Amino acid sequence: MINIKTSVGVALVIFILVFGNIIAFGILGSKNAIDKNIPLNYINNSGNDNSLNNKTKTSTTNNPTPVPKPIVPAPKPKPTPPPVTRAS
Amino acid sequence: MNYKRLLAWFVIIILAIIPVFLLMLGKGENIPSDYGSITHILGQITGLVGMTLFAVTFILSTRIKFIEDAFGGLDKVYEVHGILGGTALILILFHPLLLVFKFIPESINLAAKYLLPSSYWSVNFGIIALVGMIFLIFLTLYVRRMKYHNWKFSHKFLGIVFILAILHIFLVRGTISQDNIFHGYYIYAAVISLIGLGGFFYSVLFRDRIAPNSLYKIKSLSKRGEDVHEIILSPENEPLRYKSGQFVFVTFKNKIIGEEPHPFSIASASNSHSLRIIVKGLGDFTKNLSSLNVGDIVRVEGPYGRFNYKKSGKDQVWIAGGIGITPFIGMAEEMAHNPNIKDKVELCYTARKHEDLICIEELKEFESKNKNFRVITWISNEKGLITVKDIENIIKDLKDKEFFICGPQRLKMDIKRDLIKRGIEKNRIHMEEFGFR
Repeated sequence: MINIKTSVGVALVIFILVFGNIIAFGILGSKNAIDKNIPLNYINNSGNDNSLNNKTKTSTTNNPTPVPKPIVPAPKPKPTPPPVTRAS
Repeated sequence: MNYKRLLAWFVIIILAIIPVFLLMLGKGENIPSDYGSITHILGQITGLVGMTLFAVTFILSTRIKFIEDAFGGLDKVYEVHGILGGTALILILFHPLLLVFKFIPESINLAAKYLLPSSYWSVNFGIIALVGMIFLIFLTLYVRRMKYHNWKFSHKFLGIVFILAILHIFLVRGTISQDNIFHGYYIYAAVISLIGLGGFFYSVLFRDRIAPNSLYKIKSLSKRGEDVHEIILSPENEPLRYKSGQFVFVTFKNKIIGEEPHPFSIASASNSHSLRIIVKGLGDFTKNLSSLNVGDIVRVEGPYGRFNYKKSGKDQVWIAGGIGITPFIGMAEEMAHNPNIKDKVELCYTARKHEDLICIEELKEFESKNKNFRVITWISNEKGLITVKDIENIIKDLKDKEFFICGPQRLKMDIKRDLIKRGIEKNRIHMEEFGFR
């Protein structure tokens, strides 16, 4: 008889170890904080689609996935005009 | 294993391998061989096969009669339900891991990004579903101290987990969401989702109304030993038709005990007007049974189970451990009142102490009425746990006999294993599962 309790226990331990390692090394190994707004092109069928890296997108599907808009830098504040002084 | 059970397992296995077949069909001759693509495909397969098994668990929990017939009793159905639920979790655990393995050689940071919640709810649905499934199945398998009604309530949330998983399947930018709705993969995922949802909503909303049930009233209450209650129920309307050895789900309409249905073996002969159950205070619910009163209304659902001596037709050995005697009491009563039954039955009844032998006087009385029925008692505190060797020493010849076992899990598994070692075929060993949790 299959001992499902033990099998699930072993699978959970493997999952926690692998998941924990990926997260730990993924975060510790990166100098930058993880960008939460990741593009999801990587989930398509292309096994080696590295669009997560924000490289050129290579979708294999018929419906092209929109490339996320580049982050537009915030406009610089306008220089404060010099105080108007009464012409002497 | 009989052919019905084989057929049922065959259907489950076919359902589980269909996504693999569809995936391979979609790839055609372009089956990838590189590391990234293989792990990606394996990730998809574990996800879909896991979801298929998850959906089947909901169908198994409906208590529909033809499913019970296929597996040989509701206790066996719930056993398969547990196995499939656990297997589904194992597969679904590996689904995200396998999908991110392709990123690891290049950047583990990418893999970490994939596993964490993001602003994409399609992915978050999957993450929440996985966390919920881990939590709820962990409660079921490992938190045994949890009160039965709390566990049962928590177990219903697996339906919510399933709905979140469906949203993940159809919304995430993956194979199915990009598939044409008339393509096999999409249709298959839709069918599996409907099967699971149908099973879940039937169990939660309709089962209690549709399942065969009858109202009874408590006719008498008595103690049959330390923490052992005998409850005799008389029908308020049409009594249930049942066979001795079957079990029913009993809901006491009592505020102190709570109106949660619990499974109990029937301890009376087939189709008796009154229905007898004998309950030992093992859990939080059964310990409160002293709060019951004569006249309390009881809803009885069932009968379920296929644990009955009539399916044998050969000389039999019944092995009962502790409170596991209850189905045998009804069977013995029926034999005592039916002189046409010619099968020879030897009941090995084991308990820790003499005082724990429930209804022993009654069983001895049945023995005196029926020359084909013999009761053998075994006190484990004095002689140790009963083994097949002990039974063989008493009964002598175990060949060509049918074995019916009910009692603690360890007793059942030890006896079954030793019987198989002695060359008894598995289909001659009949066991009744006690707990459904």
